[in-house]
Amino acid sequence: MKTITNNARNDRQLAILHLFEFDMYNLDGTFQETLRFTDHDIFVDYNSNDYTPLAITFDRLSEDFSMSADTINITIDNVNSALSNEALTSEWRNNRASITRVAYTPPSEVIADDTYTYGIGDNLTGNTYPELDLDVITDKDAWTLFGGIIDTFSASESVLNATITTEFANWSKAYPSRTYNQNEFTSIVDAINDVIYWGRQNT
Amino acid sequence: MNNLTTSLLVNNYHYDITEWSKQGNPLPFDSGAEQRIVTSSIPAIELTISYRGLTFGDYESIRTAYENNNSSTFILDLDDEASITQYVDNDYLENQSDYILNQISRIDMRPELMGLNSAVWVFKDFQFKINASDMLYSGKITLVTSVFFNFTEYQDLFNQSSSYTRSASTDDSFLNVLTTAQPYSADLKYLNNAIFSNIGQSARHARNKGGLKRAWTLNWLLSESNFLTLMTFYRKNSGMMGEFGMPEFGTSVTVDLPYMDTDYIESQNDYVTRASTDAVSNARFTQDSFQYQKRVDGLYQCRADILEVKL
Repeated sequence: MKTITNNARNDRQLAILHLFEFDMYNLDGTFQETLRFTDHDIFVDYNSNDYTPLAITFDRLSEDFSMSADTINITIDNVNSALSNEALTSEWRNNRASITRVAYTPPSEVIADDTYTYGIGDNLTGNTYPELDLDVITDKDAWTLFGGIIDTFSASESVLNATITTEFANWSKAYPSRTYNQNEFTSIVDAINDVIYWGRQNT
Repeated sequence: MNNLTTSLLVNNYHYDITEWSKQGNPLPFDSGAEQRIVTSSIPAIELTISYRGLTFGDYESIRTAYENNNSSTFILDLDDEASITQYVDNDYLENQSDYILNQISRIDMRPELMGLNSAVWVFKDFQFKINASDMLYSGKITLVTSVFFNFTEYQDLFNQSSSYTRSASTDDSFLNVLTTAQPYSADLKYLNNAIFSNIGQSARHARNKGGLKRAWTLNWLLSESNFLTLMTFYRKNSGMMGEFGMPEFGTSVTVDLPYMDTDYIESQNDYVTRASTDAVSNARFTQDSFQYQKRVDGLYQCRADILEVKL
């Protein structure tokens, strides 16, 4: 669903922000946490989850009808090395990643008797720190811009780059090599097909 | 996170401000109407604060504030309405007693909108000068708003701090040259190789890489014999090989009176002196920065850039 509904569209002022989610697993394969970031300039509260403001940009998305997986590159601020430390002590790859776009009308705000139609500090929650509470804004639309898995990542001193790819990429994965001792089977094809049959688990 | 409101706002006389409003693009519809798209919620500000007529003690307090916070965010509350006194007694600025106190509310409304201590900034630039004409310090600092706030929720996620350690030297070769070849002014600057990230026009995060260096530009007006002393020292010490002790030009007017009797630099007797208690840093000439010209009155006018070198 990528249609902006009349919730936000009726108004000529529209704010857009993006919410990013990355599932992180420990190196032993157990679930660790979901990292939540936003490209907004203060914390964002959405569905009761906190999204941390970070400098994140991502490529323009494109789609086509070909039987290939769409990938996009995202660049995340890594100036304090927190993310590269995280990435090296846990597993990003092959885990869920999503980008959600939220379009909303900033609520008006009265500051010292002056009404700012579209607010200045945005809609703050009752928290003691600056946070945009999307849950209470009714004039908004949220839709998933991209859902997939993290394919590769690389980190430099200032940024962390990751390629995320649609789940369709699972189809193009290579067969596992030498799962069994070849001597136990008449051919290597039998060995492979014993486990994976036409891209799914052979049960 | 440190609060530098008092350190930075005392003795300043001018604000130069560039303001960015909410960032965004217009999105045209088929109807021809435009919808404005906003991506940042908080306006960003670049603020240059100017100072003049500072004594060394006044300058040192601003310098210390910069050195201890050169690559981290700090609180500067422009919305503090507690003090509303302004020390201007004439129509023009004449001395260090003419300054703007921190009574100018409405420039940064974040404390009002977001809570106490949300007026957070980072240093972008620091430039001062000591001149023989009055033996006082003048200069400016440039700040940029930050979105890395002084709240536990932010601080817990990402730590940041910064500091400065002077690279001390015991070499006195250049100090002896400066006794003969005395500069009439010294620019006092820094070279910062910290890295910053940003959201919109605001700084997001700063990382101190520990490489803050002091930098100086010295200007001289010298007789030929004094100039030759300086030039000989430069030729022996320029380039990679020459590291020497450089005084910080913390000048005490009461200790060393300048030989200045008019409003302009007219002879080699107008110079900036350095206090004998000056801290000395290990430094070298910036490559090919020594420039000089000979004037019709036989004096040599010259300048050189000098940079602190970490040991």
